[in-house]
Amino acid sequence: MRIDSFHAPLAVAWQLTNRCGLECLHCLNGSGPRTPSNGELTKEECLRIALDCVECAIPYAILGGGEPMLSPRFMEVAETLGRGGVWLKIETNGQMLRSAAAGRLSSLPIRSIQVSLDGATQRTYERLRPGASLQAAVEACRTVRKAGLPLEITFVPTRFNVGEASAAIDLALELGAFRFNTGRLILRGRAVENRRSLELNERAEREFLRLLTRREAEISGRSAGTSGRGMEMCFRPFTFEEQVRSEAAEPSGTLTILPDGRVSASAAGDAVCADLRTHTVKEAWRSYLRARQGTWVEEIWAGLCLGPATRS
Amino acid sequence: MGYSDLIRLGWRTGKFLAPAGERLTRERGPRPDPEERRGLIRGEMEEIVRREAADALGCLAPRGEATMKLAPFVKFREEKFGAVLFETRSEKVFTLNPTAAGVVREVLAGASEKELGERLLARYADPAGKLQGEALTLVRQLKDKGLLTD
Repeated sequence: MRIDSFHAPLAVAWQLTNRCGLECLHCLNGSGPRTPSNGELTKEECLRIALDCVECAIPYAILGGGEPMLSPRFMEVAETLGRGGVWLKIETNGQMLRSAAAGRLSSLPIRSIQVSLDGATQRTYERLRPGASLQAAVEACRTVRKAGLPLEITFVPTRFNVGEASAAIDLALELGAFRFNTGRLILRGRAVENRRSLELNERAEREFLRLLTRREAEISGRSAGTSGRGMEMCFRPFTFEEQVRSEAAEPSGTLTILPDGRVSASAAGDAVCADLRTHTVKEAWRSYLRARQGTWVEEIWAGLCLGPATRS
Repeated sequence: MGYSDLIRLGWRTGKFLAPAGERLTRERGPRPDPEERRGLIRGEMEEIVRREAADALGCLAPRGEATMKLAPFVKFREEKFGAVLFETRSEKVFTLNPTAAGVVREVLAGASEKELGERLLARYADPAGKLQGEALTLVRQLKDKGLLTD
């Protein structure tokens, strides 16, 4: 597929805010309650960009952060995109997802709500996500399902929680998730600072992969989730390096919009190619395609793959 | 140019105006009944409205038994080269050439498998006489891939 023949992006991954109520040890963006939000897009700018996405007939948007639901613009952006026919994925920690919000979202084309469940017990979950409540996250998942919305679970394996991976998979099944996403811890943001205490050794990682493969075989065919086809175990490609190489070889045509409106040509957010404060989505798309033709994006990706923060 | 030609042109261009220099003339053959003509134009206009209204939410709307629709979580987007079908659950993209895009457009406008060939023949030349068969094959393939449902 040649993405340069598309008139606009196929998807946007929009980080609505850098702020988050939690300060997770493994956060890719280093988000937290003390992360400054100055410089982030205003409501008017967000709505203009959302309308621009609709006009470009972008099929799919992923709203994330930080914690997207902490953004005062979250619901209006979601509604503008959704009413314009854009399928939405919401990535949340679930700490503040209540039935009122789920009810509003249920009138929109929601592809999925993705909740992070990095443990099956409060002790483990809170160790990775200080101050967070596992019960609140589980309740959020139940609220999502009660509202008839598709649920996805994400689990980041670390030394703290890998022993609860199987229990977390069972919990996801019980909650009616259609997909369980996992993969190697991505060493970016705060995860770099906490690498020594988080990163699995090779033996633990091999065991984790064996567990995933075994559970995948066991679950396949079981009836759960929204589709009635059983929960999908999603862990390939397993490493960030593999994901980055796969994206470089076959770009997804996704623009990553940062909280301040800058647009990145790489999912990692390092290759800024446009600014939606001054550019339209179509202009940003053309800049993205130009960036792809040059070598600098590949160099950044190569740096990400081989840089000192990542395991070779 | 007759009214039927004008309507066909409008379908392709989105402009229901006779091209500059062209005048609307009477149809060849027996003059259609005004009521019949009104019904024809109304039918065409309703079809345009249905086509325009086909969006992501459209797949959730109940329709008649014989009609097909995009599967949930699938989005159709027109492109210069034809169109793309984006299955957002798997994040897979399927590219369509102009004829295949035309087939999906007709499906979204409410064409059943039975009506599909007839509608396509009204819009596309078919010197090899294969259009109908190929359109039905495409529909079956799209159903197999989970992109279209009944």
